[in-house]
Amino acid sequence: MDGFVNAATVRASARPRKKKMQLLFMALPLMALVILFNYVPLFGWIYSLFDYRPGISLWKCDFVGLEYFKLFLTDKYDMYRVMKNTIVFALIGYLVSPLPMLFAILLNEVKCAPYKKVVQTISTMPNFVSWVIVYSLMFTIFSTDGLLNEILMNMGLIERPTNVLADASAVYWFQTLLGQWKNLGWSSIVYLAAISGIDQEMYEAASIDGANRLQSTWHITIPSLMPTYIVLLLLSIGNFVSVGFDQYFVFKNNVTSVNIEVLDVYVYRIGLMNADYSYGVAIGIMKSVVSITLLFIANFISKKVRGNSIF
Amino acid sequence: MVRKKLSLILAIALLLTAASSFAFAETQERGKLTYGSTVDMDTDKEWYPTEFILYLQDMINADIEFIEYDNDTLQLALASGDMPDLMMVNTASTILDGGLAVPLDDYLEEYGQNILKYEQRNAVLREFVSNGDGKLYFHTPNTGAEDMTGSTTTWNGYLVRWDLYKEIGAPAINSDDEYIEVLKQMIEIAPTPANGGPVYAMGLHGTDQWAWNIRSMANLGYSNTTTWAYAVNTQTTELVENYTNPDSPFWANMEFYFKLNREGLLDPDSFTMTGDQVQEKAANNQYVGSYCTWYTSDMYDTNRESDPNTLAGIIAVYGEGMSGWYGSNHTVGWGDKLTFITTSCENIPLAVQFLDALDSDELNRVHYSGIEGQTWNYVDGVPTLTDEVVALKAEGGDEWSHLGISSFSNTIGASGFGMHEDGYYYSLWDDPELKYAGLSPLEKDYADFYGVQYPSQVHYNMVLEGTAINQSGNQTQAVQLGMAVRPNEIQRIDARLEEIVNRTIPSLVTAADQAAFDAAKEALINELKGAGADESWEWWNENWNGTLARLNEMFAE
Repeated sequence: MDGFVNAATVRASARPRKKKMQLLFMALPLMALVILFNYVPLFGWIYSLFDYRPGISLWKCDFVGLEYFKLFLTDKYDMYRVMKNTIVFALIGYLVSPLPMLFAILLNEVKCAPYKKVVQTISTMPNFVSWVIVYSLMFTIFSTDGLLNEILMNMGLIERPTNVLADASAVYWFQTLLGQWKNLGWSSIVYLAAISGIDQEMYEAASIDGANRLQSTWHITIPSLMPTYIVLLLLSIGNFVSVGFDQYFVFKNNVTSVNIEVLDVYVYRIGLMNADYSYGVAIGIMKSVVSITLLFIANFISKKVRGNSIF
Repeated sequence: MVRKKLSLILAIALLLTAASSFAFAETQERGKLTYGSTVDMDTDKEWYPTEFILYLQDMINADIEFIEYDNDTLQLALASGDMPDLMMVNTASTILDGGLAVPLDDYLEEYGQNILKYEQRNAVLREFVSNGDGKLYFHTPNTGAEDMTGSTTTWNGYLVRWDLYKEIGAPAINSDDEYIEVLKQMIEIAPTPANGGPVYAMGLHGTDQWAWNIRSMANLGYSNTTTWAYAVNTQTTELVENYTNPDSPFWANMEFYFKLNREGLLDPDSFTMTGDQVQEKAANNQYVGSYCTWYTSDMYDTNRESDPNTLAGIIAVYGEGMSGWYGSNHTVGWGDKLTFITTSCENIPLAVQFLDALDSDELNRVHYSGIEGQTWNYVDGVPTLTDEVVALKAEGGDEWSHLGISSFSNTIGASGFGMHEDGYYYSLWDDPELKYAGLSPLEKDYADFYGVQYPSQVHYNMVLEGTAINQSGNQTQAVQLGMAVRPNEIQRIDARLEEIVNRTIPSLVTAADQAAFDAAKEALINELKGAGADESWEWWNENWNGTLARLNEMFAE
């Protein structure tokens, strides 16, 4: 009898283990992809320790140790400016980070379904337009003989054409506006999904208690969206120094470069345009170290303050 | 009986001929070569392959596949070792340090007799571009003197829209200030562009420092090096500081564009435009001048579509003392276009034959003048272009392009003014009468106006009179070829200097007044010195002069 019970117990416990193994096997291809494309390339970090030149075997190149890291930390010409630009764009990014949530809430309050769909479609479309196309579009609109200047001059509002694309002082706000125009609709989708997951009974109860729409939003919708917002915020803190490349690269010109050159564009310029590959890799590594450190700090703070964390 | 014997002999002869032909075909199986470079080989054009390429392929009995790289893919090919049979690069050090090139020496006796004819070029390449082992690894194109009389037109000069310039009386221009005055007068009478938009003196593709430098650099008799921080006097091959010397071509340009902007004549989009956008505005007749004819050529082409005899196009007029970008004697070829056989090549003799063909009399004549019997013939012992090809050149279009005449200049071994064994230049286009016959209506009007046979003859006549200069003393390519590789620190300083200048140009050009310009100029020079300009100059000056001295010794030998 004992033997029978034991065998049944073993069979019963083997089933979930088998199921777990199946799940693990299913995850294997994805894990392989992650390892292949996220971990294997880390081997490339070794290039930062050599004076690498394409065409010469790495092992035949001069070993320079941490020379390029020292160069990065002691560079007084570009690094201050580039880091300042990166931090400014990152901070502006945090300032405007609630906008997709706000947009989702406003959109959710629209009762006319066709209008809501049109607005959502129109606001999402720019996300699928490449930055190169966006630049061409902006050039057509904002260049000195572009659409905007033509209208303003015909209306007699200005005497000389303006060009926001060649105005260093306009870089921060103009690029932020462009970024929001392109990404707002897309970023709001996750909040619209979160809103649809809020228990409708809470709104009904609030309504019975006499709450108006604004009060329902303030006391139900926003608190319900906060976990989502916090998680996204935490993830974005990890990308504090990775504010992007495409947008700033295409809009960079001799006038705007002083304010628009962020770390990723700088790495591209150093690594590929100046063919200083090893130094470019070293800057990339420093960027990763800063990103990971920031992520851990933000995660720790979130765990302490709100009890929420991503790991 | 005799007939039978004859028939038998003929049959045997035929059989033997057929058998030998078959054996020949067997042993002469057509080979294949791959050739990678960053040069656009036009392989995507409808008229490709050109008659020249077909001739070259038949000459070496091989099919040639051209692979076009951009800078990144070229570096990737070198890094991965996935290289074609032949490659063109602009610097040799990595190739030599990485052992990626095959030395040609063992193959020259059998396959490279034409290469051996270029003794001076080969001697320089062996001394400076061999890692000290004295072997020949590279081949450079366009060795020899350029057209000393000037090509049909020059791309530099005081560039004006010809119809408007004539309309204001074609006044003489001898300084940038006079040029600005002429541009102003032309704008006043310029018709409104068909697609609207304001008319400016010129607009630049100013995201590239080339555009901000090249005008005065060419006009004042300088050429560029691998960094815009330095310029080379094309009369003496002397190196000068371009950024920190207040009297350099760079500062002449900045002063010019500053004045142009202050007069409201410079297209304000000049800081953001690409070359294509400049061409677009030129095609819309929004400019009356230019910094280089290449970027405004669409103006004439577009206007000519609606009026074949239009004179609305950009062309150069010349002032006293002005330099024309022609007349260099490239004793070692174009040193920034180094072709080598890679260690991946499986048929080295064939690759050497390819390089040898590039240096042959036969192929150079085909390249510059076309195929004998097709585009030129010997008339009383003189190689003479046919009337048809002269007319075809003037007409342009796909049929002309398909000939491939002068289409391989970045690779072909000799300059057009090298001497063929028949005693005439490779290029048969040198005859001024032929140049006149090939002129466009605009160029013809210009030539008639000044009483010359082709537009740039105006400049060449000034050179002969001693009132203008060309690049006859220019050895820039040779010195750059022989220079040591810049150490990393110097490369970084040079890149930093260029970046600082890049972002300061707008504030210089848009300075409110002369005092603001002078202050910005002084501030920039000081900033550049603080960023290591003196250290860089010390290295450049020493290495440049050292290489030049050694080259002069070699040339004297």
